[in-house]
Amino acid sequence: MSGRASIANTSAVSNPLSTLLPDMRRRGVRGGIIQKHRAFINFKISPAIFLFNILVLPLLWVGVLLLLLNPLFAAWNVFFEFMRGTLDLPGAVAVKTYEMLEAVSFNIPYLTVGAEWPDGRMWWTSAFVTAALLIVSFFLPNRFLPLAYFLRAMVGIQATSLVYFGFASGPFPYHLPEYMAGLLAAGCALLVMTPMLFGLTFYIFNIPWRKKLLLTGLVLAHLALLLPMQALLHAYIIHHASLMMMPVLFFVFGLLLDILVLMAFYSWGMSWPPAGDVDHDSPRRGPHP
Amino acid sequence: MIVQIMTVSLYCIVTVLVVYTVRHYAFTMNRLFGRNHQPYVDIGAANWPTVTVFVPAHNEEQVIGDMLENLLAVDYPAEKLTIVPINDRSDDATGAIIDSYAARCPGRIVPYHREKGPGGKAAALREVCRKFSSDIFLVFDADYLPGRGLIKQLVAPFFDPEVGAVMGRVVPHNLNGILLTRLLDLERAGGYQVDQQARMNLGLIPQYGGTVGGVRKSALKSVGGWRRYCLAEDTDITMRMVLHGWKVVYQNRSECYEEVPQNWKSRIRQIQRWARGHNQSMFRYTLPLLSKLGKLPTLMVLDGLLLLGVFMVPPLILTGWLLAMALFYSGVPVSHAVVVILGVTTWSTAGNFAAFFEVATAARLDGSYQRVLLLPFLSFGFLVSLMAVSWATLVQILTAPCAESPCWHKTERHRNGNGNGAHGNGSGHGKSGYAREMPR
Repeated sequence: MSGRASIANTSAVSNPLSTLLPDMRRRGVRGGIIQKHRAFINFKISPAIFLFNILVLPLLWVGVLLLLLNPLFAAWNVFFEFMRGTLDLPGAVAVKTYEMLEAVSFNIPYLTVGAEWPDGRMWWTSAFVTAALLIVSFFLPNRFLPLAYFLRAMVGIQATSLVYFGFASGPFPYHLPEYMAGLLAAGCALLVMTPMLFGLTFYIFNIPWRKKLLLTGLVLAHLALLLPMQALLHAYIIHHASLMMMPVLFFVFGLLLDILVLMAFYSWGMSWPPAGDVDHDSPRRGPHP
Repeated sequence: MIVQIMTVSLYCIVTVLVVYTVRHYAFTMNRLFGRNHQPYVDIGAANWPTVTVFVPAHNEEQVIGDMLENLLAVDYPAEKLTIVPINDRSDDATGAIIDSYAARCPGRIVPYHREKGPGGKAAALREVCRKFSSDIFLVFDADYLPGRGLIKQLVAPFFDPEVGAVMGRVVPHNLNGILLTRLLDLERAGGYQVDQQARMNLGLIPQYGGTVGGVRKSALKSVGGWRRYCLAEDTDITMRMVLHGWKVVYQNRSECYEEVPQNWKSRIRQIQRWARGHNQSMFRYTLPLLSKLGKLPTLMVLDGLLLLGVFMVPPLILTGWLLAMALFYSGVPVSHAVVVILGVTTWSTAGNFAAFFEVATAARLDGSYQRVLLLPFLSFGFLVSLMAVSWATLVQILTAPCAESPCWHKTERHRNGNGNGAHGNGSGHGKSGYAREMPR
């Protein structure tokens, strides 16, 4: 044992208070921990753990996802094939290849179902429903004002569609198959982005590891199921109700809906209490010395 | 050609929005992991300066009593504290309530009744401040409930001779079963617990918020006093303080309780007022602030510009969406359209994510985890704010950007009454169990 260590050991033995003082400073007169006021709380994390949370773990997730994407698309392919028959949709299941950095390619399935320019009946039906929704929005109670605004925003978007299809002549710049593929591609981008988003905004908190991994897995699984169903539903509606429905479905019920779902999961995860007693660097509750 | 212009414009808007997203994120990370800068909070015993607390009130019979009760109970040396409720042409019982307190506590409460002159809080403060000679002026709105130690906490920073203004934290107390109040509570938490504190930590510009705060009298005089016709005298004074070299300080520990709007109409009126006032300051101080590049820290100037532009973000978002829709219909090649629209939606999503991250972090720092579950509903709140602020900004730009409105703009009160605004059916004394019951 070195001389210095020997002296320190001797000090500790002769004055046990010196080892107890740091803990005692944080305790009140009855021995309980004095928690910091919420204004002073902040977190301490080592650079290594911080980097692991914010970069390494998300990248691991992304790597796994990239490996699983093509098998996932194969499952979507089977799903679309099954549902095309069930819903009696024309066309077939095709595949659009997207390349990433010219190294990796992804084959996103989509339906080659077409959609028509709206005829007069469809246009007037849509106009009637749009007007009805607008009127309803003005009769909602005041406490439903956000819902009223949402309805009016939807009505506004549909109104642009009505104007376009009322005055323009065909063909519409976008075809339903490409729209479906584009929607799925955007959804896949969100899928791959999700672990990075969580790395930046969720993994840094002192939440049990199993819960962090569970939430990420749940979100990814949910999106993996939601995206093809969403795209199929869009295709079904547009095929039957005409291209006039494409704008409102894309802007309101496309990526925005996916993000709201992500937000709901995120808020659930952020509501979980921390591992241990506290989230931060305040002294932990524990047995009295 | 038009399509190219629209595309470039959209990318410019997305760039601006990305800057604000990064700012939100940087503030949150700083608040979480940075060193909290609260240098004045340990001052407990001192030779306290003279303080006048102004409480501007226009038809505040429902709440003024609680306010005065709480102020009378503070632990600031009584001989150095003067409480001045300003009754600005109220036509309810506000004046009578104030006079009754003045009669009860002569010398401590000095009422000021305004019968003439321009209306509005800023005009009232401008007129009244000239008549008092304390070292420090603190301002509280009439519906606030200051704690016992709050005055000392707010005055402590002024021992630093460079400090010109101070701001405390505003915490809603009327969290009843109404979704709106809970959403506003989340927003306030994000704005104060994270945003303001991060700006304080980073040496940027914490904003004086017009209530739960105050100014040094000499600093106020040096910047020309309160601007008479001003919808947002708080932003206005903040900028003038900074431009004249004074520090504006935020004290996260100094919490005070307020009443937030309980219905959406009140909320819309409130946020439109803030937007118009803030935009007035933006039009007025953008160039003067830019001219301080090189004289003030660069980051402070840049963040000050972002702060001034914060109420232009909703109209920018709306413009972005409209451009995206126009591009969608214009037949831009699908891949390009998807990229462009993805940019907007990604911002709206990841961008909102940064704002939600800030709010969720604030809730965790506050130790109240369950209220984070309301986060998705903030989207609806943001939608209402987006439309309300965009409309107010559009009307303001089309009419007169700097036109000022010499009248009172106040939020509806619900305490002690049935929320009938200026003429509530309260007890007439505006006193309730809220007085002195709120946690310190």
